[in-house]
Amino acid sequence: MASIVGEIVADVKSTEPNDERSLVESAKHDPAALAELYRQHYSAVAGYVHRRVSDRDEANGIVSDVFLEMVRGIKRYRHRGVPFRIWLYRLATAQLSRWARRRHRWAMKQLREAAVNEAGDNLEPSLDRETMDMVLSTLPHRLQTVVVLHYVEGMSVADIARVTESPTGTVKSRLSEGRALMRDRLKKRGF
Amino acid sequence: MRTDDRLDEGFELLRACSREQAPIDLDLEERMMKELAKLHGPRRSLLAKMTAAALLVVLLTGAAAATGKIGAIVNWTGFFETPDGSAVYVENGRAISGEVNFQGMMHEIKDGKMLDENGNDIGTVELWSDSE
Repeated sequence: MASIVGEIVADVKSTEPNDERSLVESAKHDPAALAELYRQHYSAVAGYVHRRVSDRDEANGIVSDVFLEMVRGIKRYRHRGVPFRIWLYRLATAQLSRWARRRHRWAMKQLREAAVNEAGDNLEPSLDRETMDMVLSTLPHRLQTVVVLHYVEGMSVADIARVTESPTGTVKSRLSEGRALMRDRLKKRGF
Repeated sequence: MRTDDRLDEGFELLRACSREQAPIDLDLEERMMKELAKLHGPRRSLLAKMTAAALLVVLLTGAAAATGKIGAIVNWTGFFETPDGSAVYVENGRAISGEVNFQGMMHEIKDGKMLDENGNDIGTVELWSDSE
């Protein structure tokens, strides 16, 4: 047995958060509160990322980046009417944006090739996740974000406006534009 | 079927992906704790509170029962800062992650175990009060 002399430097035992705001404040220096916050939000964030990114390893990497960014950035978080969940969605959306930009060019190429291959085919093609992913990825990023948050994550226009820090009118017009573009691209592929 | 309906069908397909509850990623949780330790651990001035002095006690695997321990185990969760400035994350009195300088060498603590330079489990580290 050997001992290393030291001091307890961050007492966390006395902290018992009774609402989310105090839990977030505690998590800025308290590992137990941070773990609690992580466990509360992991499922929503991981679901959001995995529904968007079909490659499991790639999706797991993005989820890790979101939560590590949460640890680094939590000191900057101020409640000011924005729930923590919305702030986390902002972080996740920023990480997904980087991924989506890389994927956009690939998706456009796939769309062109698919159009050539399917020309003259009269059968109605089957709609699968890969096709939806590809068509979504061809949208400009500003449209992808709102379409995914609304039609896949089921988020209200008001919440999307808070995540994207845009007016609700902008969100509505992007939703309409995004849906029309997706419909158009599916139609051209025979759907 | 109308294209609009096919589009809704496609969204439903995406919603169904990963609908099952994702299990908590414990490795990520540990990485987050280390990240928090990296941000706060060595910079004592940024930390919230300072309480009683304590000792990190290394219990080597296979060693005789720990006799002569000082005080009592401190059932505490938080960061412990060693004199050389490294931070150790302690949960309920047991070191879970971080690094300690033991017998002149830095040893990693991972998943509650102290490892040697080859990654072998050589013991555990606990937090004990320094009062008799």
